[in-house]
Amino acid sequence: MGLWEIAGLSFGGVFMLMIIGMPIALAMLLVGLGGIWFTISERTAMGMIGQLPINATMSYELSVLPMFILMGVFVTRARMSEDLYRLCHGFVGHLRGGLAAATVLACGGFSALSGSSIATAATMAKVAVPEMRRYGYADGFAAAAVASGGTLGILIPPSVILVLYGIATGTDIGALFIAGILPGLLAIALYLVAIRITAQLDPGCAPAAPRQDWPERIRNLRSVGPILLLFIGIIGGLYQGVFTPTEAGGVGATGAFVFALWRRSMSFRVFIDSLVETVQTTASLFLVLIGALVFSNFMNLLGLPGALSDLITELGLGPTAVIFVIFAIYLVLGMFMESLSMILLTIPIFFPIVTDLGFDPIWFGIFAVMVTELSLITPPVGLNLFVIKSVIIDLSMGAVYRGILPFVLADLVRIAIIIAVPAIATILPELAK
Amino acid sequence: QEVTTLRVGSWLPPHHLIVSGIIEPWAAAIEDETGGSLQFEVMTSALGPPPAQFDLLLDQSFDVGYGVSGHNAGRFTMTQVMDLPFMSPDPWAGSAAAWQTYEKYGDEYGEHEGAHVVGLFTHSNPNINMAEGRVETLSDLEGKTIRVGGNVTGRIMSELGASPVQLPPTEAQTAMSRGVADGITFPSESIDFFGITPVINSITRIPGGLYTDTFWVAFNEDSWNGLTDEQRAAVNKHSGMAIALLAGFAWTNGDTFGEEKLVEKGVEFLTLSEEDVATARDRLEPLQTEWLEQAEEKGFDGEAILTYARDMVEHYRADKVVNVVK
Amino acid sequence: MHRLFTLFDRLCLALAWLSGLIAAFVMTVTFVGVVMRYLLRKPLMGGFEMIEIGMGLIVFSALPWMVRRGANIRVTVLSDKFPTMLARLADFFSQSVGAILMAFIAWRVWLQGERLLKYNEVTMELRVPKGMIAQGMSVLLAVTALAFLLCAVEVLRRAGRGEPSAGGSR
Ligand code: NA
Ligand code: NA
Repeated sequence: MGLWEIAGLSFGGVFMLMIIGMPIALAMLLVGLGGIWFTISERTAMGMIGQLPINATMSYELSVLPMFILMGVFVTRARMSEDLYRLCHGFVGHLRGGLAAATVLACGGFSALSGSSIATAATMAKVAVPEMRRYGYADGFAAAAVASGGTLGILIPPSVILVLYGIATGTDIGALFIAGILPGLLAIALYLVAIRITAQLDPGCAPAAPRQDWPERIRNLRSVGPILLLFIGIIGGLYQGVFTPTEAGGVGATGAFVFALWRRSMSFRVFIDSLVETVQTTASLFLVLIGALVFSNFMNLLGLPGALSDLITELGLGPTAVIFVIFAIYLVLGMFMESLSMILLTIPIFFPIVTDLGFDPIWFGIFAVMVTELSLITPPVGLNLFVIKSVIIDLSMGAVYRGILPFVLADLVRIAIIIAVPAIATILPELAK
Repeated sequence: QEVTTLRVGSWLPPHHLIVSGIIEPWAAAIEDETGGSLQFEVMTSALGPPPAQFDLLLDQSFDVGYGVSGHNAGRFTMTQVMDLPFMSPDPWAGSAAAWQTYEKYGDEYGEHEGAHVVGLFTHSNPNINMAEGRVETLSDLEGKTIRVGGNVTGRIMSELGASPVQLPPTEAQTAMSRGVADGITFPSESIDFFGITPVINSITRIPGGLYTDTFWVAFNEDSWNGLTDEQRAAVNKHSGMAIALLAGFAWTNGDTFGEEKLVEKGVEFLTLSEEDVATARDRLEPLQTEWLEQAEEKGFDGEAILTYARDMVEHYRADKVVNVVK
Repeated sequence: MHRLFTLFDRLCLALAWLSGLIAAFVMTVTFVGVVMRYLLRKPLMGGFEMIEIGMGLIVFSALPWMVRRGANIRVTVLSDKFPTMLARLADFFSQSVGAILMAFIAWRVWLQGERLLKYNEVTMELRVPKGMIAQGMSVLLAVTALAFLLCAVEVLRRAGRGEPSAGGSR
């Protein structure tokens, strides 16, 4: 069996196991580990699985995940999110999809400070999804708004993926950050359009409420003080360099805890329940992460990066066609692979090919981030979708998959625009020079 | 002709000097030497984080690997003699001394069981790179927050009066630009590599080399044993001191390149005075004492190893003045 | 039998509480570290490492509870429409695979722990033997394997009583 057959079989295997309802983590673990065992060696498979779970979990950077989830849980338990959404509802609730639009804008604001999509999605999931549900939004639509809004975390600077791309390719990280601004704004605009159109076509998924009068709006404004203070505190602290984006999680959770205490909504019971809810979510996400890493290591050992490079070279296509082939490859990989390992696996391969063809390294960086973003929300393996699902357990994955469609379309449109008008990504860094 | 292809595990981007300036030229020389019977395939993406590299090698996830000894604290303590403060004045001397010392004593350490070490090398001198304020004397470090990569550098910065903050390299750039840290310890090569140049305003050099890391290059034992005698001879010919030599050039070139960028940006370069360097040496003495204690615990004559390493440094110093007419 | 299940679930919950307390600890360490650095200009020694070790322990001590709660992330688009027998079969298969995989991983992680102990690998600052952390993870993975096994047995028991397949959360 050749490499492509093995790779195809493995993707198919993961897909089959997932479809019959096997936990996603187990499906990827089983196929990844079995793949290494049979195509590389038993010794490598056994060694890999002995040390990977230790290395993958004992990570300082990933501590943002439980910390932001914890913050979200505290914020919800203290009913701060309820206040926030009552306010939002007052201002935009009479518009179709108004709350979803507000959620995407909030994600955009948070993204301007956090460099991680998962952190953005985890923070907003607990805060936004239950509230949108309360106002009658369809589960899938509400979850999809948060999942796609969360992807802004890595497009709008700062961005972990852009930093990694910069280091991996030697591209100026500052210029990459500046380059992400316009595409980020474009992303928000297109998501708002997607929300608007979806709400228009399917009014049931985002019901409009009667317009609220100003006195009531003002009254609601008073109750959101704490949560606004919390967000402003995090934003200000990051901006002032008091703490790093990783530390922001722990600081935010502490802040939410203090507010909950102050509002007398924190008892020992609530505290313990919040913690257990947080670690349960964390455990389910990390198991998926371990599975994804094993699977990605299998693809790496199999020689997928080299094979992809050969494939593109052998096709002998023109520059634009190559970009579309790369795009297609990312679409397929993005369906099955975790975003970070996908980038780490492919960038060292694609970068030299693309720059040889004369593409701007900064432009390609933005392109790469966009396809990574897309992979976070495309079924079946979309990490942002899983984050929402792990936080809101009673959500049906099928509903989420259906709800995400308009947003995936918006992303496709944006990628097409960036390919057609590269200046959107390159003009700001050129002006900044 | 039968061709053996070995997989080389790599966790750095292909354009990093360790890959393009040490590993790749080394592999190419061996491929040439064997007339192509031995081929190396350098992986383009990592199978695990840096601390996992040695165990990945032991499990034969790849046949050849490289890594930083200090990433596995406690495991390569004896090999790391060059990691002590003020041991490595330049990357040639540091690398050569690391290898010569290991050649003499390394077999007894038993720290690399299951692997066949073919080379050790060190990196170039780290400077103190400041975004905020400038460090002209040691007392200027007082109360400054300095980003460090690990706890040994953290300890060094604490002993010198600064407040260390440990951050992953990916967060260093953002942390420096937002002011979480006032400064960072890195060789000039790495400042440029990690994109930190734009935020740096002044750089303080510390003659004698404040600290360094000992890198290893090794084969999996079974992969090594699977080679023919000719192939092994070819590897040996281009390893050991040859790797040390390559490392010296690679790091020196990297620093030159990084410094050009920094000079272009208008960064001020300072050098710590001799008295301050002497004070720093004194304050960092405890690190050496602790290493000697650890060596004794393990049953080694730490003094002898340290003295030998120092002799080797003197012997291979790049700034040695020769050919002088008296 | 039933009492044994209840007892095991209590153990899982106790471990989840422990995991939660470690999460609270990580939160506190992060916050205190920021305060000490920013206000006192002094770092919290070992903070970075306490967070790293804490992360490892949070994940593995919460795994058994997560499994027992059926909180694994799954896609049930198709399996929801399976006839009862097929749904049970698929569920039983998944839970058994989980048990076997977790037991296997527990064994391999234990051996990796032995390797780390043999070569004295420790965390950089606090000098905690990494092998001990690894073997702690291994024990928790073994409990996770048991949790999957219990889930598998429950599928069989439900089938025996002719109850509809629950299959954890959707
Ligand atoms: Na961001
Ligand atoms: Na995806």
